[in-house]
Amino acid sequence: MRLILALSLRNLLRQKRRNLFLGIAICFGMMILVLAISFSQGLTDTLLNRVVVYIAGHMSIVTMEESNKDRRIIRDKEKFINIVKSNIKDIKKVWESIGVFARVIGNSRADNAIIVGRVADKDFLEYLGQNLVEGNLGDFTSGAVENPVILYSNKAKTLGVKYRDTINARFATITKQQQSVRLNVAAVLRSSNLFEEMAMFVNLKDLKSLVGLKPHETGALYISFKRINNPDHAIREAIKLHKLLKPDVAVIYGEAVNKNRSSNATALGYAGDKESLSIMNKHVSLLSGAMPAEKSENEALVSKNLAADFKLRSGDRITYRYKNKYENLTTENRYRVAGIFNSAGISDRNIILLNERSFYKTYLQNLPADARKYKQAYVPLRRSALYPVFEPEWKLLPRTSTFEAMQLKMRDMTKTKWKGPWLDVRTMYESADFILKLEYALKLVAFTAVLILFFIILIGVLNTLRMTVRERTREIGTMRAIGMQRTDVKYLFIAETVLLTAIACVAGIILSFIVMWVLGLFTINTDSVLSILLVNRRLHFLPTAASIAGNYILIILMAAATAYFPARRASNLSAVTALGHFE
Amino acid sequence: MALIARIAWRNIQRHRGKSLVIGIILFLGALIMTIGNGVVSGMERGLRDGIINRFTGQIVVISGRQEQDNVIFTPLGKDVQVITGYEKIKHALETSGYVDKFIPVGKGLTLVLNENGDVGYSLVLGVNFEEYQKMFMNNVKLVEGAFLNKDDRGILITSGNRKRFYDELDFWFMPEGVKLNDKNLTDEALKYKDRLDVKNDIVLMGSSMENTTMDLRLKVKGIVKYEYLDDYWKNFNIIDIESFREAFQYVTASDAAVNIPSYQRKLLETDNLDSLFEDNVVTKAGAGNKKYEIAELIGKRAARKKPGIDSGAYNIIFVKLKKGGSIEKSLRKLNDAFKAAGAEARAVPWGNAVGQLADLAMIMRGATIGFVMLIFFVAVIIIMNTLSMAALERVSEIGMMRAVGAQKSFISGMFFAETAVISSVFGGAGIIAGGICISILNLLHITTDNNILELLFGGNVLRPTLGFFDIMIGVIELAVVTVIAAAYPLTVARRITPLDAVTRD
Amino acid sequence: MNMIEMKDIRKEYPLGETVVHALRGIDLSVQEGGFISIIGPSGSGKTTLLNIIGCIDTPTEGSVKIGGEDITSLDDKKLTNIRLFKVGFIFQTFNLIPVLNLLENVEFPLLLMKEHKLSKTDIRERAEKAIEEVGLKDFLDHRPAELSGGQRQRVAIARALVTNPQIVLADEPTANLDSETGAAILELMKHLNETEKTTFIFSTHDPDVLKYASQVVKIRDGHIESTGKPGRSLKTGKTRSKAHVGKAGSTGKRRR
Repeated sequence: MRLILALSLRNLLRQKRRNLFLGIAICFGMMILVLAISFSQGLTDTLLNRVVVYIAGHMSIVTMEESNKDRRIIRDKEKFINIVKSNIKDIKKVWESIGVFARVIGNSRADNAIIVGRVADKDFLEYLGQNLVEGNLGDFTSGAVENPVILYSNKAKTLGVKYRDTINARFATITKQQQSVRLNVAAVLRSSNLFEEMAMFVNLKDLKSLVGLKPHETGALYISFKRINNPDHAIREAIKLHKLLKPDVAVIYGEAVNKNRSSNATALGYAGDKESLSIMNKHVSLLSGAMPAEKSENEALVSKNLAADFKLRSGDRITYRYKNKYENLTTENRYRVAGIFNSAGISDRNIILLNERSFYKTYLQNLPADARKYKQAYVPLRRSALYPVFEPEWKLLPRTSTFEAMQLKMRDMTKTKWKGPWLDVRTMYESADFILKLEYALKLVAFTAVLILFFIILIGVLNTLRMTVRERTREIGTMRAIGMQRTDVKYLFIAETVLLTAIACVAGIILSFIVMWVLGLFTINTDSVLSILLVNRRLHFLPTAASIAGNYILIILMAAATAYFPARRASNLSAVTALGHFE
Repeated sequence: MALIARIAWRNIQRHRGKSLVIGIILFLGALIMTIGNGVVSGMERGLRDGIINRFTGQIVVISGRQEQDNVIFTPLGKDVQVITGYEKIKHALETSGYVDKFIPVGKGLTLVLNENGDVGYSLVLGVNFEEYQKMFMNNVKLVEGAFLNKDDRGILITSGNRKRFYDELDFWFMPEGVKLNDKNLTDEALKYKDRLDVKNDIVLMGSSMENTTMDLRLKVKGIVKYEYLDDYWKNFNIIDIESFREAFQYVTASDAAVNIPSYQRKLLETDNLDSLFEDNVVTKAGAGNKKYEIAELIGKRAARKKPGIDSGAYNIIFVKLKKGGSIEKSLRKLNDAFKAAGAEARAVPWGNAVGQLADLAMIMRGATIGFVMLIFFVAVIIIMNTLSMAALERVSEIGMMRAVGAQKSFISGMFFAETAVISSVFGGAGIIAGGICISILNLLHITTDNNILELLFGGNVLRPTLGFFDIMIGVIELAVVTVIAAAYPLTVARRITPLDAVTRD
Repeated sequence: MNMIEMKDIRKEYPLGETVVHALRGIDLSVQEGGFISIIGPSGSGKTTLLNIIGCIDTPTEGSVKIGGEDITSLDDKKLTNIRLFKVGFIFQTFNLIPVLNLLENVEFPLLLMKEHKLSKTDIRERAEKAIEEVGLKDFLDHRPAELSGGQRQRVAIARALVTNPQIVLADEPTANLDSETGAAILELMKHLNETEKTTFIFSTHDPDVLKYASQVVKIRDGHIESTGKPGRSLKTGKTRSKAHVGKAGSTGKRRR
């Protein structure tokens, strides 16, 4: 084999001109391929690892109330953070995400923007420091300035504002109230792509209070991993998290109060769909009154035990109060007793049943303390017949793997009009899978283009080899006469082509790196769509060893396959005719 | 000459393999080039049809205070400045001599309000609909209901927006008195047909430069669709210009002055932030239940103007030039005319106005041309190699010719004639095959729903075109390739001496 | 023992629309250590005969035994190995491998002997010894293009002998050389034949060459016309009285 390689190398050097030409063509083709693939990967990297990961995190937990995908509120953020932190591997950061669409008004100019809440942590401050155009980051962190805001230079220009100017902003709170607020410009940042310019940063704490979120509540939880660009890991962890987030029945434990008398009682919500109602019919007997209407508010069904305790009758009113999980508050609601019920197995319990609307209204806004800590609380068991009827803490949306599937899932969710919180676990590789698809499409286009190039190149290789075989016929005959095997002759010619391709491709790869470096030197100032392709106003290439190696091998295989036929012809030459051949 | 041709032809036949290789490469190159050119010119024609003729005209006039030329697809629906002094501009356009038609419009982003407090958004185009249709070749097609007639107030919702509203807000917009037609329902809507929340009107809240906002309840007159590039334009619902002005507070007492500097200043000084947004009635859920008396609301600040009189408040004017008019020249003349008339306006080419769209088209065009260039570069190298090898193979033959008295020029002539014959036969075949491919592509009627491809197709059907001009360019490109590829091998062949022929081992 | 035994060898091959009968029934035995010359006019079948002996061509009919082994029904791979281990070739046009230098050209067949796995130093030693025998020790790193015709043929001889073959075949080895160089080459071959006891079979149509042969086989039209000692059964023209055994390298420099 070494003999064949040595021979083929010498033969390549013997026919310098033709091999140089072919080499240049192959080198060029490889360069284009590496450039195109690195560019596609660079684009994905820009979009995923520099844009989407900030917008969506590698993985996120989103809960949506009232079956509205925009009503994103996590009521008990600590609970989820704890679950994430103690179960999910390789976390770099868990952060709260709140962003609101706002109308902003500067100096006589107005525009729309997305106000994003951020914590001034090390990462963020470092980012701010690197991109600061004017202003003082201290204004943002010190707390001395009221509602400090940081925005990008293009937006500042549009609004006609500078450092220390004010911006008036208006947006909707979580309760859909319109909130107007005055923001003070703390700093202006250099913007490096089109997406960023839409964002304005305010302190997370400020924004939370402005949109009406309590400290223990948040918009959504975003998780970033230490391993960048590892979809497998993110999806694996998301599946794990999804399994961990199976909801239980939502239970409120508190006390019923009537005429200065109080008694412990558990409040549960029951689902209003047909299936649940038929289960109710089967297992719950209404002693008096009627079921509350679906759309009614503040009406309750009271268990026989509790009714007897207070001597309640349908139509009476009862007060129910419970301790909140946070802020040491107590919530008090007043309900009209719509009916009195009894059910086997729980006839000795003090239970208040609320319909979906009434139950979640209080449960979500005033999150109760954990009922499972109280012995007297009635926590339905999974095996109990009524279990499926009771409203859960949340409903888990199924995992989806593409953007389309997620949209479909959201649409279906919207149509349910369920009042409770829907919980979704997603990764950016799913919600932004169109970016991966774009990369795939770009790569496919580039690869097809390069394939056409190589088709032409390989026709050239084929022809050259054909002529070479003809020229060297006598030589082939001699080698065969001396005792070289047929297959070795074949390998000799294949080796020549493969060697040429291998060397030219390496040159092509080196050349592509030079070109990438040179292209990276230029800054491009554009506001057009092109700017999404840029990182810091420069073209961004991301060559990866795996993709280069893969394509390298593929092209060498293609070259070997091309060389196979002329080489076989060479090896099949009969020694007699080969020796008798004169040009 | 005849001798050269004869020898060349015989050589081509003798070296069939070599001729075939060069031929195949030239054929492929010419084929790809022709198809590429065809697609690019088809795309350009399509975009011209779709954008210039049916949406923007060649020139777009915007306010002189407008920072960016890109006014149609602005990120987050950025406001477009109001054009002041419309009368002067109108006069300048009317008297220019090179302007065929023009139409002023209002364009902006409105919020779509909703009983449950959720907010949607919509881009709207405020126009005089009859004129708009006349100007843009009846580009708006009716799906359900009716068009906006003269003096009608109302909105035409695009079917694309109707679908989006349904997905986002869960309303199904329908013109009043029109029955649900399964054919026009989306799959999703069909699934929930019996639970469809049908609405006949929409509440829009526009936001003006002056920071005040205004709610407006509009009757849905019709559901429409744009004939060309609907995927891009479908974001624009059409409302009558009067409603647009009300929504965006463009209403003025004296027509010319849309800016109210003193009022603005007052707004900025005010401490009560809510007073900035004084007309806001959506402070709580249930806004939609409220009845709006537009005249009453407007009346507070500006007298309602009489219908039929153009108040002159617009933010974009689309201009179509007379046939054969040069965009560049007209732009220069128009901008001069505006300056002379003292109008605070700027005329920009359509490409600038539809920024992203023109950019994308440019990128795709560049990519196609770049690809053809790459192919030719590689083809030149391979042909060069093949030909110079052929020259060396024929050393004894060429040397012998030189020995018997052939001049170098004869050798070049022979060599070049061979290449030229191959190039014209195979390259010509490539161009013809490309032409055939293009007609087949046209016959196949390839359609797409992908909006990027739609841009490349210049519409939702792939319609590559190949004009005489394209073919000429193809022939010239082919000739250039042939000459470049043959040049080096030619010098190799010319350098062969009679001695080489006899002393070669 | 007979090195080569050929029985009723016939060879036909198509040429255009006719069939050429190159050999029409050849019976030939060659003893070990012979120095045999095959003569005959052009187209008489000399080369075909040599090719069949050298296992690069196969007869249409008849059987061939080389060193007692019947080769008529062997496959290409085995035939190649016979060429490699038992036969050496010397060509009219030298046929050196242009990309290899002198030493490498001679080493080449040894390098092909995969089954035997010779060590590097072994190969080098054997090649150098072969080169020394043909008197080209000072030219080891020259490429074929840098050598004269006579030198090239000496390299070819060294290459043919380096594997210690049982038979060396030479098809008109002197045809491309001037007479002085040709004589020197034949002297060398004869010398090697005597010292190494290798069987040499060479074809020629130069009567001057015949005097070196131990046996002359004359063929015409695919038949063996006669065999015998040189000078007896053959008419020879004027014989040269003196053979010039020149030193290597002093031969004329004529190229084809």
